[in-house]
Amino acid sequence: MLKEKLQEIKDSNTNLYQHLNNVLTKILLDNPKNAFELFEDYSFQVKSSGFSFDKYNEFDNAERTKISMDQAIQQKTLKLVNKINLGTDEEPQEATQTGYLPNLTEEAYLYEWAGIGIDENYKIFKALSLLSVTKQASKLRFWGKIMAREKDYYIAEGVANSQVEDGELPPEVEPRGSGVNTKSYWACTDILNDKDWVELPLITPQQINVSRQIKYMFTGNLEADVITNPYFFGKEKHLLKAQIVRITQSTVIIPKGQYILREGEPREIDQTPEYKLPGFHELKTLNDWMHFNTNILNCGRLVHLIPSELPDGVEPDIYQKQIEAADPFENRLKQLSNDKLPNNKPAWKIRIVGDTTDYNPLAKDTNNKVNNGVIIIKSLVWPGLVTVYSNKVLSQLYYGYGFKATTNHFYPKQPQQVQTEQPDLPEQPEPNFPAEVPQQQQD
Amino acid sequence: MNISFNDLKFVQQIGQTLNLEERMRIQLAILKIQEHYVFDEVLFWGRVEGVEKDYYIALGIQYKGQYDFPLKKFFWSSNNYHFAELPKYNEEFAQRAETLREPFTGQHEHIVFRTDEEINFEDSLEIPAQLPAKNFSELERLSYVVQSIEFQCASIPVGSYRLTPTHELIKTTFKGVTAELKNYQHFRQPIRKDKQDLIARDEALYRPDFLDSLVDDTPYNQWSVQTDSTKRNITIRNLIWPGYLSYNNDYTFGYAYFGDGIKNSDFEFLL
Repeated sequence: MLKEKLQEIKDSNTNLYQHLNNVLTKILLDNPKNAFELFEDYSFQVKSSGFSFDKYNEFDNAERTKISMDQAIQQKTLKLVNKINLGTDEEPQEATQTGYLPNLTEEAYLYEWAGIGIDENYKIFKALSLLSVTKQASKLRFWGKIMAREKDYYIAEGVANSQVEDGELPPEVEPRGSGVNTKSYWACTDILNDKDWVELPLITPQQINVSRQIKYMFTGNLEADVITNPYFFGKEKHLLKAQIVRITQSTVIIPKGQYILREGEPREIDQTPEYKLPGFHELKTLNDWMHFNTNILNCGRLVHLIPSELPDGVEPDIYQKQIEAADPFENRLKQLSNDKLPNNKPAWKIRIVGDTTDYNPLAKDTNNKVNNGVIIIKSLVWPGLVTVYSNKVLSQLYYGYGFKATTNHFYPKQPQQVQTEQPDLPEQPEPNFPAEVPQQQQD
Repeated sequence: MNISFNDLKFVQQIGQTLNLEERMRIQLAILKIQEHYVFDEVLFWGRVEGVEKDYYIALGIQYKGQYDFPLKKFFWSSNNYHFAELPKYNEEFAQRAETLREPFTGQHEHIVFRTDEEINFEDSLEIPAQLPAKNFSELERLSYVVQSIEFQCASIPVGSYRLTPTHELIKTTFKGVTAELKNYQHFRQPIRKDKQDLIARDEALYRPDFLDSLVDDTPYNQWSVQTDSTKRNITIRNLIWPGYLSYNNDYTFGYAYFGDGIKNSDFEFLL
């Protein structure tokens, strides 16, 4: 009786009985927590979408297409995390040799203490090991992630296979393996696609100098043109490499005492013999850390260039001294506590997090206590650069947009004034001589 | 962001996260707020990093009984994880604070701008009705930055909230949106004329996109829509306030700020 009564209350498409059925079915399917509050909502949604309780199976077509899109990604992800297979599916070929690669998953745990989260760190780790095999790169490590407008770059740092040929390079460019081009960097925007790792090209000193004057937010496309003033001669991949090199050269730090200056050649460093990484308490202040790399000179190289053809009467030694006086080196292995920003504020911040109690070790014969505290050093000059140290594990990462911290507002340099054209000279009328009358020879 | 912190994986896409100690203590501190204040939801808003210490911000939202837009109240805490209300900032200095490039120090009493006036009341015959403003402290700078970010950036996906016939905002069952900018809207009282009219005419009840859309924001390129490698976890990042992100996947949505509190004022020059 009630059913017929309800069926009498009709609309053009459905009646009240049907509608109540539909609403209740939808609520049962969705199972929201606050169904009572959303009841009117559901009623409205069911009316507008024409949901019908006996046909609800067909309703999830939109959901189905989402699932089929996912399968391609699922397959790629599985391929990534499986054992590295260089052959095809029918003939699996195991990877023979991978270079050194630190365990990113363990390091991610340390970075979490620093407040830095490496998203999908296991996938990145597998992608890096695949890179190490396919490009035969040694000493690979995850350098960091540079965020960009459309897609982010994952950057890997390593030493490339020595068999790569570069061709002829102009003399001021430091060749592969020396100077600013010592390490190679690979960038990738899609870690599921192993073909995506692109090695960043060698850079010239000119590119480094221009990158110091501009501030540019990357787009995510390595081949994009960089349009700035002063003009950057190169594509986005060159600028990316230049920024990466600048960041690395000025921010890699090591505990004090791990390296010493070589006698007689104060620009070279050697590992200290019989050095052990100190424990927690010896590294708690900025004084205990020092820079590892040399700085980039004003000319954009790491080492001055002595041209092969010197002007007459100038000795190579004197010429070298002159250049070095004009563009001096900074001391190697300088301490962090002396670094300052342009406004005299400190350039580094050091924090200690985690459990800093000293525990007695398991073995009874050592005096060294175990301390699980984590020391975090963040750079204020290149915000996003983090160094973590805990329990003899030292690691470094960059997560940022690739800018240096600026204390002043950035004004792009004005383009040079284009000289105005000289006004055209006033036109003179053509001299109009009367047509020459050929003199006829009088006979 | 919900204090269960299940959503931290989205924040990891910009390389930030909360460590174990922070998560635990923030949870306890936020529950403490709920003992003293009545809110429908108390969420973790974000972390502003300073040189010596960091600030943690919580947000309390009251939906019921509010007309047209819920009430938001901010709370701040330093490393002691004890939340207090975020005070009002002095309007005069606030504009200058927006373009400051120096990082926060972490000490909330640190003076950012000094008022150089010295008023000597003994000699003057008239005493002004209002005492002149005190120095602009870092806490006020924090307050200004947090409220600016909330106004300029806070955004939610379309279809996540609805307006009831009594003009209250309620959360709906959320099914996910595709990763396009037009599917997101600001989480604030609408300032654009067309959306205000929509609400005044009561049509907002029938439309999921009744708040200001992100598409109309100028400059247009300030929003970056990205996903992770599974393509299901979408984050929307703001490039003018780097560190802000809105996130959603098919089950959940939210937003948070993890950064140093410095606005990227050169943004127009970077493209």
